[in-house]
Amino acid sequence: MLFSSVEFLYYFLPITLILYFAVPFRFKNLVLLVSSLFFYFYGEPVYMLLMLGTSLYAYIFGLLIRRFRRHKILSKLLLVLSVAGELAALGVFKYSNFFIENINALIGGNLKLLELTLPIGISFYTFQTLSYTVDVYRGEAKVQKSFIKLATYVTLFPQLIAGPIVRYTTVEEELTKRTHSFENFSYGATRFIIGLSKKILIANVLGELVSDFKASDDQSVLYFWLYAISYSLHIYFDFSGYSDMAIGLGRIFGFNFLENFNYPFISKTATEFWRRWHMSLGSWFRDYVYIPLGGNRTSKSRHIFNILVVWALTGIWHGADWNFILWGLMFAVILALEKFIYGKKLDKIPVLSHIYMFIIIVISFVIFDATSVYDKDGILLASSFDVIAQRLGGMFGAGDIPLVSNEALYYLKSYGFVIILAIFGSTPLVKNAVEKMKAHNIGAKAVNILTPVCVAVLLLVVTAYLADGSFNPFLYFRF
Amino acid sequence: MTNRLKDIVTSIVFIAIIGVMFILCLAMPKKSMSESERRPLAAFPDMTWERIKSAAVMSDFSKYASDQIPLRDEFRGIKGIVNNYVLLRSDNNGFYKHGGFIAKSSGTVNEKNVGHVTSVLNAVYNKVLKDGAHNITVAVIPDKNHYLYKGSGHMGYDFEKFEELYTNKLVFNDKANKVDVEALLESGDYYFTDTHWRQEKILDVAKALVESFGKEYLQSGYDTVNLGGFKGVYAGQSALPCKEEELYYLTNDTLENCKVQIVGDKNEKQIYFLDEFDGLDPYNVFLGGPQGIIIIENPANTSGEELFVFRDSFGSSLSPLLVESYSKVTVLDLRNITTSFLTQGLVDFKEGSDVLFILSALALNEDNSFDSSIVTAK
Repeated sequence: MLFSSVEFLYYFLPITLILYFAVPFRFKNLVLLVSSLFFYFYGEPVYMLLMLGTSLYAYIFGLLIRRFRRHKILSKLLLVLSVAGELAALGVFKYSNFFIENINALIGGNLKLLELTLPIGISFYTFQTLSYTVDVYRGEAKVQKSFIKLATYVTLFPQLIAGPIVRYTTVEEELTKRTHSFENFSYGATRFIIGLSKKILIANVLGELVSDFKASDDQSVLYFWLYAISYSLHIYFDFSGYSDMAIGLGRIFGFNFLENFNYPFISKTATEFWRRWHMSLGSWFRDYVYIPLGGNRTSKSRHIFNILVVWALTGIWHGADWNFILWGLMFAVILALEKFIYGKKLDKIPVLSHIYMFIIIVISFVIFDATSVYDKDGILLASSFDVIAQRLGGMFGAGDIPLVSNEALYYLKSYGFVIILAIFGSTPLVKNAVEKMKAHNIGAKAVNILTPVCVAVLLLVVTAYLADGSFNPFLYFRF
Repeated sequence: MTNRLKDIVTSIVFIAIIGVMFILCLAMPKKSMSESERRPLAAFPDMTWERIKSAAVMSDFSKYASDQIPLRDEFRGIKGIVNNYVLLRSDNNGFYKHGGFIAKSSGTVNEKNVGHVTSVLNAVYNKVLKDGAHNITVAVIPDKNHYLYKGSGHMGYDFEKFEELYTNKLVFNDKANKVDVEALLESGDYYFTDTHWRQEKILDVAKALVESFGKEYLQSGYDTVNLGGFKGVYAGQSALPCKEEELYYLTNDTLENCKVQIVGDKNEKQIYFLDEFDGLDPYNVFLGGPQGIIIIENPANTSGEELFVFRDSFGSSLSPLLVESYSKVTVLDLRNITTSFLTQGLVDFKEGSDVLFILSALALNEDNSFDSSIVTAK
């Protein structure tokens, strides 16, 4: 089920809110668990059992790790088993066919692909269960003896299918005791509507341009750049919009999730970008891969190796295709270069550094979007490398394509205002303006009056778009 | 307003909207058809365990929830306004408004579909027309967008190249007469809110088509009857604000005395299906809308001359204007005919009769409902 759907907004959510706020506190987690399971079942009836099984697996191993915490070897073995088991499910469902395809390509083999579909959200909830068992092992989290509470944490529908990746320690206390107030509800509702508006009014609209570009035979440098910039904005508003919705819904139910985006497009370096983009994933890899490998407290060559490993894994986490690995490794190289060669200089040249980041962001997302193309029978039509070459080549005029075309000019005119709005919205200008208004008495009153008005107007406008539209899946569902 | 009051009001507003919509979703009666979109709306899904396990129920429920959202047309109208006037988009779902006309922007020629349609037409020719010494005319009706896109800054394709692409694929191209319908039309010859042309504006097209067969165009003068205000199919599909316009039809004693038979229907009809004006698609006044084979006999013309018209919906309003020049006009829509009409001889293609292939660029480019089994029928 998608947040941006009629069935979620006007069937699932009202029923869940009624049940949740009607029951005493001791039943609220159960309501959340049941509604979250239904939420997942709606999209993945069979794989709901896999998710429950993963939660049970983490629960059992959490108890065992805690039980045998004084036996260093045994507890480590239990940790290894729990991590291996949790990653095994992810590996089989997400990466097995990628490996089979590549083995076949390498040795000219004919191994049969597994007939598996990717369970929605498996990358997210697997990382959450991993964080739980590792944190219990490290003593950073208390073991959760209630399966209902742990399963509620793993399956919690606000962040289940597209993040943010919520650490168990973030919500540990709130699973047992959390506050419900008008302040939380209002903040949550407002945040949710902002996210929904970002998704429907900006991301989905730009997504139409991206789809039109891919379906078109028209080729011009302008069209390729229009696509690249639109896709970058589309994925930001799609993903950050979904994170806003998740954080907002979490707050309605009394949970305080951490922020996942902090205006990444204003970054001056790639290092800064990854402190602002998908922060929950970055911090997860930092705490569970990078630091255990030694981080930066090691030799230069080992440090570079650690960066390469983390970013290769970050790439492949996003998808089982070579473009994702290339995307991750691209950032590894850039981050290493910034760290060891020119990073500090970039801070001193703001205009050039923004241009530098604009090019990196746009090119990286073109690579990110360049998955292999198959026909309806599953025959490969173009590898991700072919697609990357074609699109990056097109951006720089390869193949003597014209600079502009009628179709590109039409779409520039049609989407131009939305793109400008999106660029504007990807900066903290609006937030800063609101903060400045709140600093004054009259401004604060104006903000307070406008907030419910904007919530109402945006909700009705978004509903209008949903009434007109059809199925429109969130990008990160492949994860 | 204090922060506390703001929090309360915001919470109440959010709950109120979600709550009211929830109640309306449950309580409001469900519709089976969308009048504005001319299509059936999804019904509540069938619940079986197999369908639940395969998530088919959930997929169908999503369509149901979206189709049956209360005030659906009103919300779509809001979306059209926000899309065009707030987000400054050039079109809404591909539709745009220019000079009062609603048209659909289309810059892409679908060669595959054109090829599919021509394979069906070629099969018809080879099976029933090739040996009949028929006089054939081919014509293509441009889409309304063709006359609007340049002035409005939208997308369109080169109609001349499109027409050439189409006619070159016809095996009977060399034998056929061509009528340049494009030169005879302008944007004002189309309805503001519908895809079709206005019958009262296409007399010169009818004349050119009949004259292409080497015949004199006969028409004894028409009375123009105003059926009243209506909104065409584009009004609903585009969800853009628009006014009603008038629908006229042309009639005279000759047409009113014609015998009209829909093959498969025992009842004799009139040439204009006036009851359809109050139905889902008022344009169905012309020959009753999507019908397979219609035979129009004109007792006022005793020449014995026959015309066969292979057409789409544009042919519905054109065909009555051709009738006076013939004793019998048979109107065929290959999208609504099964192969049996060829194999069982339901239609007698009299030797030497005139055959008109007149299709719209829209149908050629986008309509994939032409039955391809005709191609392999024996």
